[in-house]
Amino acid sequence: MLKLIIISAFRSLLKYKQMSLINLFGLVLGLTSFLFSVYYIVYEYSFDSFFDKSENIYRINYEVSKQGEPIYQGAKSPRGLFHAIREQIPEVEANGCAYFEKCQVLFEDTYYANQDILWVSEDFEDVFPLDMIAGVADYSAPRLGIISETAAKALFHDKDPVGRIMEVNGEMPIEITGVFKDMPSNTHLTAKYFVSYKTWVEMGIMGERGDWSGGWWNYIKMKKGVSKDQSLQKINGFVEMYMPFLADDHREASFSLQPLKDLHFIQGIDGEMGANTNYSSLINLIVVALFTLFIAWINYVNLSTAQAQTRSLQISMRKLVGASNIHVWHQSLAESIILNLFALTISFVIYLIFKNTFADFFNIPLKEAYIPPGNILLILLAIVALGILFSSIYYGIYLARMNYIVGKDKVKGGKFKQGLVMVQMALSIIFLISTMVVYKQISFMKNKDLGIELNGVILCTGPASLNPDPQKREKYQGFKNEILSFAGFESATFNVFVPGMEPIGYTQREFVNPEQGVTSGTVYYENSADDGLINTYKIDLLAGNNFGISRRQNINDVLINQNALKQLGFENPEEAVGRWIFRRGDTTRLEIIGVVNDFHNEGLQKPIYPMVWNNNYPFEFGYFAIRVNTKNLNESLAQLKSVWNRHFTKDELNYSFADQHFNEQYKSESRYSKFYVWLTILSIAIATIGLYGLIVFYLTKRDKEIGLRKVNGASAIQVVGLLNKDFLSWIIISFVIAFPVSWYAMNTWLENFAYKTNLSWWVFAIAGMAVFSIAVLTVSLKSWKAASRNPVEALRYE
Amino acid sequence: MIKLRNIDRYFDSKFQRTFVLKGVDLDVEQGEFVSIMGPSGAGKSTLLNIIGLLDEPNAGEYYLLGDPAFQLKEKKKVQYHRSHIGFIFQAFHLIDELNVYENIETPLIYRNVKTKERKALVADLLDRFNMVAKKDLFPSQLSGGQQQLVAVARAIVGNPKLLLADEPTGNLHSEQGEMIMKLLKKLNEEGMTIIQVTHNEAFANYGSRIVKLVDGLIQEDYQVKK
Repeated sequence: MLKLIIISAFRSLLKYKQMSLINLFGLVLGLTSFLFSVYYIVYEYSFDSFFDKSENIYRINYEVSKQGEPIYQGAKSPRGLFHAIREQIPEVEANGCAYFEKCQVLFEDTYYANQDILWVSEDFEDVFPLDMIAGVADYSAPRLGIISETAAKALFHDKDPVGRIMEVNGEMPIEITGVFKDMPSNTHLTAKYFVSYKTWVEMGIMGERGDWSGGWWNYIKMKKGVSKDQSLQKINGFVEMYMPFLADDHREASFSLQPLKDLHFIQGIDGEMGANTNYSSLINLIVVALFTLFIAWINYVNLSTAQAQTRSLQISMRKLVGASNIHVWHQSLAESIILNLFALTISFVIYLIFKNTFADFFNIPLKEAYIPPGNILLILLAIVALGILFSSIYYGIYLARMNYIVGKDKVKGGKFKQGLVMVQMALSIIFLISTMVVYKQISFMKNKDLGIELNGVILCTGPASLNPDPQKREKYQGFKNEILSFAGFESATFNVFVPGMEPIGYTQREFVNPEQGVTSGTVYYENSADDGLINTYKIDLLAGNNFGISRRQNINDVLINQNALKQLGFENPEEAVGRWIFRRGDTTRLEIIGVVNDFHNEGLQKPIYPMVWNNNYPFEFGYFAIRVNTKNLNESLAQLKSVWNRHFTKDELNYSFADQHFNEQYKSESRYSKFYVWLTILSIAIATIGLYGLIVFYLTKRDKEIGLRKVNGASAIQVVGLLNKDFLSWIIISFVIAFPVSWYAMNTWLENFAYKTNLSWWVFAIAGMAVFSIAVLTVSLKSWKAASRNPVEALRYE
Repeated sequence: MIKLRNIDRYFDSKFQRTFVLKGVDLDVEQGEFVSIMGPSGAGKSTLLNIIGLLDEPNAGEYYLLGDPAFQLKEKKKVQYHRSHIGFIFQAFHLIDELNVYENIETPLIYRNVKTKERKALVADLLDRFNMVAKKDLFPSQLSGGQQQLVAVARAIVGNPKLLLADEPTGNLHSEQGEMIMKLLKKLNEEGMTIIQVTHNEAFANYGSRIVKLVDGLIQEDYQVKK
């Protein structure tokens, strides 16, 4: 029986070669695009899963509210939690806390600035065990740390790093106890160095036990089988036990647990680390990828049932010699399985060949990622099995319903087939509209007036070797004076952080306006700048003055933005100028000397926040922002390089353009939009293939009718028009379905952005026109051939 | 074996009812070889289809092998087709994707006959019909007469009690037609009940009895004189 089924399936696939090829082509397109999407999706869902028992690891998130209004929602929590959990919650297998900082590292003559260092608690490796290739991970004493394989090669060259000392920020000699294998790219822990935070305790920067004010990432690893809710309850119990100070100004705090694998999804909370994937975009991608495959299967079902009409006699014969409906269904199932497996094999080969090209094209670090073995194939097989079942069950029912009488091939279900074509077309139009809206939003974000001008601003990483130098400000001033003496350079300032970069660490502060009477719970971002700030970024000074040129003029002077003005309780910019404010917990009087306009310091996903600028030279190396005339950019860059090298002999010039740097924030959106474009093109292609197949089938069926019409005087153009009319009426109906659906979907998507583009009518018009033209072209090209044929050929066998 | 009583078969269009068969009574005994004759549109094929359970009468009663067969479920019909009725057609209707051997074998497979037994039965028939050399050919590679021969083999491989032939010689030239008719006659002599529809007077005479149908009514019904 099996042999009969398989032999028949193979032979009938070969017999209807054109249909089989069209089917195969559509399936391969659908499966291949789906396979690549799955590859990426599995990558996104495997973040941090390479850590042992990763499913039991959580980060503790922290929320503070005041009279019901949330004032802090973030990933950072008090260090005090670390000791409290360690000592009081036995069902936690291990826990750790960490602080992330960009630091300068030095070994002999080799310097690197902006290195990602994670300052960690002792036993941190119990939560996140790293793959050590030399030595061990040991954070039990001050001044101990480990380094990644790549970083070790760069810093220590050929020397064995274990036991050697690297200098951090010019003041902390750290002994390397081990080298770890580079982590896969899909981890939220992007650090290349892990150093014991006890170093800071020893230096007296902070206490041994840690306080309860926040600022650290706390992780816990639950024991197997222990409910996390119970532990969370205990953790929340610490609020009452250790944080009574919150009640003093009516604040309430609570903790929550976020699973490790979710940490790289952007939650929109403060102080996330390595969060760079927009979750809803990922879900959209999954839906789009599934729909692409769905369109391919619709093709399969449509073409198979269409074909079944020509094959109805054969099927009736099988029934006559004793085949039951189940037998007939098995037959169609076999064909479906063979075709799908064949398509799957081709797709998988394409996938294996172009895996790396795909990663490069979409700029995803897939090659270095940890992909759980077997997952991709498993998902694919499951989905394909589902598809085979779905398509062959429908086909089987269709066959069973076929008329019994030999020679009469009247079969119903044409309406349903048209319905399927409409669904395909509607999906294609929806994809097209969505892709266009996504692009429109990205270009809107890239082109919107930010309130500052980033075009023409060069951002240089501050010289790391100057960090311990007491003369660093004077050296900067010398560099600045010389570079501005060239005609191409207009203005320059130093900064701790620059636009497009999330302000982290010590730059988050609370400010107090004593005259307002109440303490504000708002987090402000404090930046450093000099008198070049306003001209470099072309910010508007609304009231008051800029910083003076000389440092002595500006001690304890600050500039604030409009948002800060409002948060501090001032009525208008003029009122604020000359008033004093304080950093919370600090008695230094800061005088507001000027107020600047609000601008977007970060991408348009985020609202504008309060900012304060002081005139202190960056406490680490910071950035130098320089406005340059873009006319002679190459010449200016050459000048910048030579001036830099003269002033900062130990540090390479490391620069980027501020506008490009800012647009990096839209990387996730850009990547997804690139995905969408490709999936849209493919789905339209597959739908067109399906349409083509159906036309081929229709033309064979209407061969005689066309011949008769021509014999009776119809011109070829009239015949083409007639056939077009049939097909295009379905497509017009699919517009009617697609427009409201895509309008609703894109409206919902745009809600993700604080600032958004509008849904213009022309997006719909263009999408409609495009799909319509493709359909008309397909139908006309194919039917023209049939219509211009000599009718005798069609009628010969009558 | 076959008992038809007052069989009506009609089609309704908007304004009128067109009868294909009207009040047909027919009895066929085991071992008979009946030829149904008549002009085009007389209802010959419809009658054969009703007998073969491919079509249902709108009114009347039909007993096949003593069982009421006018309201059978689909599943039951499959059972009858598997074990009691064989068909041959004017256009042969072999399964294109299968070769001669497989075409003959297929009914046995659907009846779950064991491989060994299947091989024996098919080999027997190939031998008997002189088709051993052609067993690997596909229908499109055979002449009409050969195709019909395969169709006969396929129809009788399951040893049915009843063989229905709808103009089995219609697409054949006379020499081939004669060969098929001789074969049918021989099968009848071996005990198989056969009902055929034919236009050809000479071929009708191969049977033992002729039923003449005109406008859905049985006009004549007589034994063939030997």
